[in-house]
Amino acid sequence: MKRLLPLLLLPCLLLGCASPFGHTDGVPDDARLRVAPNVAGSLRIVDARMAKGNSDVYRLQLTFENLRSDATRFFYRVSWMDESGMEIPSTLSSWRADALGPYERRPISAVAPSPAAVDFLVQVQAEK
Amino acid sequence: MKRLILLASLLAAAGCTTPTQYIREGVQTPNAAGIVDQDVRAAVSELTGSLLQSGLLNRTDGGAYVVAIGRVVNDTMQHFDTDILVDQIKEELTATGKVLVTAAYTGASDKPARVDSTLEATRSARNDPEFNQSTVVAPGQLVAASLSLSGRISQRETPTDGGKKQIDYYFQMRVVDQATGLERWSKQTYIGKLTSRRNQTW
Repeated sequence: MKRLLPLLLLPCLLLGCASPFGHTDGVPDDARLRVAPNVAGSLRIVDARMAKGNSDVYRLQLTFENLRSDATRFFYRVSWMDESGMEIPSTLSSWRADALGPYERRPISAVAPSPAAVDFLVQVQAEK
Repeated sequence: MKRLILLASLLAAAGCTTPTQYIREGVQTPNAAGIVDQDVRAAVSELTGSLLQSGLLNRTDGGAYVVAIGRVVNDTMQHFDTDILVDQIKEELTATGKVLVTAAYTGASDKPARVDSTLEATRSARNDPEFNQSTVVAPGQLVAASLSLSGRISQRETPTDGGKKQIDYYFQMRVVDQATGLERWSKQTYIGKLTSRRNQTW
């Protein structure tokens, strides 16, 4: 039993540590979440979820976390791709300015411009 | 000596002039108290996203709703062409294939350009011997709207501490069922700005 216990606990530990996106210095591992190095030390994306809800268009919810003790201002943009990977041009994919308070963690949502949008690309960069 | 001073003044003035730049999205943040393009895009994104996500425009037969554009009231202190907002929302909704916007009539008497003037011109060709009558549109083909889109942009200014003022912009849109008169969807999105009391938006 003593030998089996660590083996039984290992998957639990791994599952417990697993989050949708791993991070290295605030940069998410998912290639679709691109946090520029000039802001990666200040904020990170801790969670990303995509669902359709009542509609036939996807809604993406990104949870941002400010790692600093002062406010962090940033730009972000969510681009949407169709099945063939082509970007769907839309005002809904415009750059948006936002800010997080000290150590604030907040979800930010984006809605796909059409049912043809099946994938996304998030870009985050520091406000200059 | 006077010429030298004049020359120096001109050079100094030229040196102080800020060169005009192209605005690049995601790089520059406009420091403006009034409504700028970035504000409109943010409002369009919020409003259109909410409408699409509501599922209201999903018809079970896969068809498109015919939408008439109503009045969008500019209730701000500044001159702002509300068609800039309306056109972007129209573009986004039409691109989804869920909506067709009628150009046959509008709910806004102050926006005659929303009605396509060629519709009337085309119909005036009826019984005109100069036109091949088999190519002239038959009566009874215009499609009435089942939904309308209208809204309001309002502004509120409040003095705050430190000689500043807070400017609140509210972009509100609604969709009304033309058969029942019931409001099927509405959404208000907010943009707030903090600026010097000396900055005027009008």
